[in-house]
Amino acid sequence: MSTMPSHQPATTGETLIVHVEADFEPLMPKFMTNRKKEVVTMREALAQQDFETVRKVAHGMKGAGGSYGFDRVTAMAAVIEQAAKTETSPTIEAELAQLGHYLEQVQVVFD
Amino acid sequence: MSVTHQPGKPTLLMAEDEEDTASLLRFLLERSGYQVVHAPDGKQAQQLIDTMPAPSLVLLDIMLPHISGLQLLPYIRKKPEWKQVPIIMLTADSSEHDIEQALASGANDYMVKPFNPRELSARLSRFLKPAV
Repeated sequence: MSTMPSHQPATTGETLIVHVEADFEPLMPKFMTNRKKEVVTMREALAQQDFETVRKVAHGMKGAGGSYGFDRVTAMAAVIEQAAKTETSPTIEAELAQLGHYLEQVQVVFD
Repeated sequence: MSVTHQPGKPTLLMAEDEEDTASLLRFLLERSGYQVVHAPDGKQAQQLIDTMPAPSLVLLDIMLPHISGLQLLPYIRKKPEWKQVPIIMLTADSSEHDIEQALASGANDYMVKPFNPRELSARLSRFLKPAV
C-alpha cells in the first residue's frame, strides 16, 4: 500500500466518503475518537516542540488508518511522521490542520 | 497474567501496542476462529512468553514499548517449545533493515501496516490450517 504525501486539500463542499466493511462498524466509534484525540495530542506536542511525541503518534496512526480503509489518514500521518523526524514545524502544523478537517468531514459508508 | 484456553481453538499471541490496530487484528482473528492473547507492550509480551503454552503463531510488532519485537525474537527462539512457532512481524515501516534483521533473527514472515485483511488471511494460511 502506498503512502503518498497528501497534497489534495479538502475543499469546501467536497464529499469525503470512505467505504468500510460492514463488520467493522462496531470498531469505528473508537477508531474515530482515537484519531481525533491523537490530532489534539500532536498539536499539544508540537506547541511544546516535542517532535518525538509527534513522531510516535503519527507512526501509530500511519499503521492504523489504512488498515480500517482510511488511506488518507495513513498518507497524512506519514507526512507528519517524516516532518517530525526533520522537526519541520510548518509542515506538521499544516498537515494537522488538513487531518483535523478530514476527520470532521469524512463520512463512513458501511458496505 | 493468565491465559484461559478455549478447547479446539488455535491460540495466537499478538504483541501490538497501537490500540485500534490491536482491536482490528483481534476482531479479524477471532472472526476466523482463533483465540487471541494480546500483549500491549514488550514487557507484557515477555511475561506471556514465560508463562503461557506455546501458541500456534505469534504476531509481533517490531516497535513495542519497553522491549522491542526485534529484542523478543531471539528470546522466543531460545525457548525449546517455541522454536517452531511461526512468527509474523508487524511493521509500519517497510525499511529493509528491520525486516532483514527480523528474518535473520528467526521471524518467518512480515506484514507492513497498514495491512489489508485479505493479506492477513493469506499470510496466516501459509502457517496455519483454517480454524473454522
